[in-house]
Amino acid sequence: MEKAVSREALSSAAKESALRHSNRDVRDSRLAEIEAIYRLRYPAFLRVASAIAGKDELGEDAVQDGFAGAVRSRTRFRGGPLEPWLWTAVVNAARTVRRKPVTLRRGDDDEYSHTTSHAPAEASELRRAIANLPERQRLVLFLHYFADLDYRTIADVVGIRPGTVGATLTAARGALHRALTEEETCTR
Amino acid sequence: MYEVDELRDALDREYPKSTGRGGDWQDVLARTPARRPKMPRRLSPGIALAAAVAVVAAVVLLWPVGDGSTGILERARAVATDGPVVHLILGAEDAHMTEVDLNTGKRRQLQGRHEQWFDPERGFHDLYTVDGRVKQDILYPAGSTPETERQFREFAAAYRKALESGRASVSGKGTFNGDDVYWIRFHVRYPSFGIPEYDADHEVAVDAETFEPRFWRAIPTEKSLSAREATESEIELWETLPAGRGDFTAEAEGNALEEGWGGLSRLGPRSVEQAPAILSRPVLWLGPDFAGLRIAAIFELSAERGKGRSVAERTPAAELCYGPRLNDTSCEAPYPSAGKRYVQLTETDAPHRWFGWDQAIEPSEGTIILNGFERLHAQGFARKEGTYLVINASDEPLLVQAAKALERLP
Repeated sequence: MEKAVSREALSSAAKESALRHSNRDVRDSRLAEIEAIYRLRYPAFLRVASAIAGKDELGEDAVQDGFAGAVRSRTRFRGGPLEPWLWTAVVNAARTVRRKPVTLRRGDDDEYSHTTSHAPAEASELRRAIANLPERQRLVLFLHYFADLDYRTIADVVGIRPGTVGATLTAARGALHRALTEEETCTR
Repeated sequence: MYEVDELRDALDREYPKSTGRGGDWQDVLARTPARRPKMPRRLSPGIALAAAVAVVAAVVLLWPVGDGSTGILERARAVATDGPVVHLILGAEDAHMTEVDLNTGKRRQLQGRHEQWFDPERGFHDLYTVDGRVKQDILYPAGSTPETERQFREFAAAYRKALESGRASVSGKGTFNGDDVYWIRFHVRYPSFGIPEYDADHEVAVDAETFEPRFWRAIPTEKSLSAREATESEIELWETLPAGRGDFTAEAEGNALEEGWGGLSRLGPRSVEQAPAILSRPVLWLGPDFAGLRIAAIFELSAERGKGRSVAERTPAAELCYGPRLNDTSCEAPYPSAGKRYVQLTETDAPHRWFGWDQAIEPSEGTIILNGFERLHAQGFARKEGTYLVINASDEPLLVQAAKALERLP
């Protein structure tokens, strides 16, 4: 009778070995992956970051900071698709450069706190309407339209369930429509 | 409602695409060292002393009046001990399993996630899921958890104890995922009462606004015998609950001993003609020859459980060896010789844990799930037409090639 335990013990030894595996090779190959995504998707990162930050210059800074942060903490990346993780880094950096006081909490289904509008008085109606959206709706809108990310990736970045992304987008579109219609009515 | 295309056009006009701009990767790299997070690091004694003096001076000069470390620790303690029960969700981690689509070759790394409940009265419940499927669901009743397991698992208990006892200190300020955090440090040591000693510095990053724990890491010191590697985890959720709340029901109780006995009987070799009768369906095979490897043997196995002298449960299994075989009863795996090419199929009518299956391994037809923990050879789990297979091979390409080539033995 052969005990099945021996196989489990073997697996445990392999697990320990795998945990020790976070060496320089892994870090360097991840660095190359991060660089590849940066080069390939830079325009999309810049567009989203600029939209969140409110200015192109701030957006550029946010992309650079976000990627620098990702490069620094790449050993903490626990596997899975790399791109959502990089989007999270850039989105957080963009939110930071805009000096938002609100903390983005992952896995929270409630709306994020409404942040005050930073749209300048001379901004277009659309910009002002977008600035008045709850932060989560704004992020989902930018990630969907400017980065063409799928719902699953957007959900990962924003920290909501994939099923909530569609509903958030619909809510954002509805809010924009209402805001712009009211604006039109007021100016008539 | 805004029409979808209309909105896209409006957004494109308002926020023009920045095509033609390529970014500056060198600038990214240049920003990397300058903004290193302020995490405590080990230094040589001389440098450490100088650094300590500098840090103390900086802290004295820069610490906000009336909001020193005592205030930070007090607020962190208030958040951590607001209720007797703690509910935690730790960040997604590599589950060391990769799903490979056999048609497209597309790979997907599966993610694991721990959800935990801790109550000093009721114990510790650890629910580990992979891709949403339960891999491990265990309740360790209060007082039953061995020290060696507590050190890794009951992070919540150690953190709260350190804050309440005044043994925690603020070790610095930094950022985590773009948010300001304070680092709280405490020391954890489980003395050696028949188990290897555990000695580690634990650090928790708490949000500078909410004081909720966001990140945890443990760095074993040189004294630690039971654990030498640093562990770390993002804390996605930390909430305290009133007494009696939380989920303390689990599929299994930790450290419970199974009654009876269990083992794997090797019933001997079978011919190709005898093989179809081993399982409820004819076994799957790779033909008489596969990738330059000849079928070396087919073995009949039986996974058995029982009590006393009686066998309560018997699960038939077939083992097919391609390439060399170890001896008259075994294929090359699980102890393969270096340099030998081989493929081994272990088949059952249902997933069975003695062959490595668990509830979280649920391959779809047309896919194979690779076991990332296996280092001695390549190992994958597959399901085809009602037959469950564990495939071991000398290398991964050979394993995937075998999974694609499976067919029913005529």
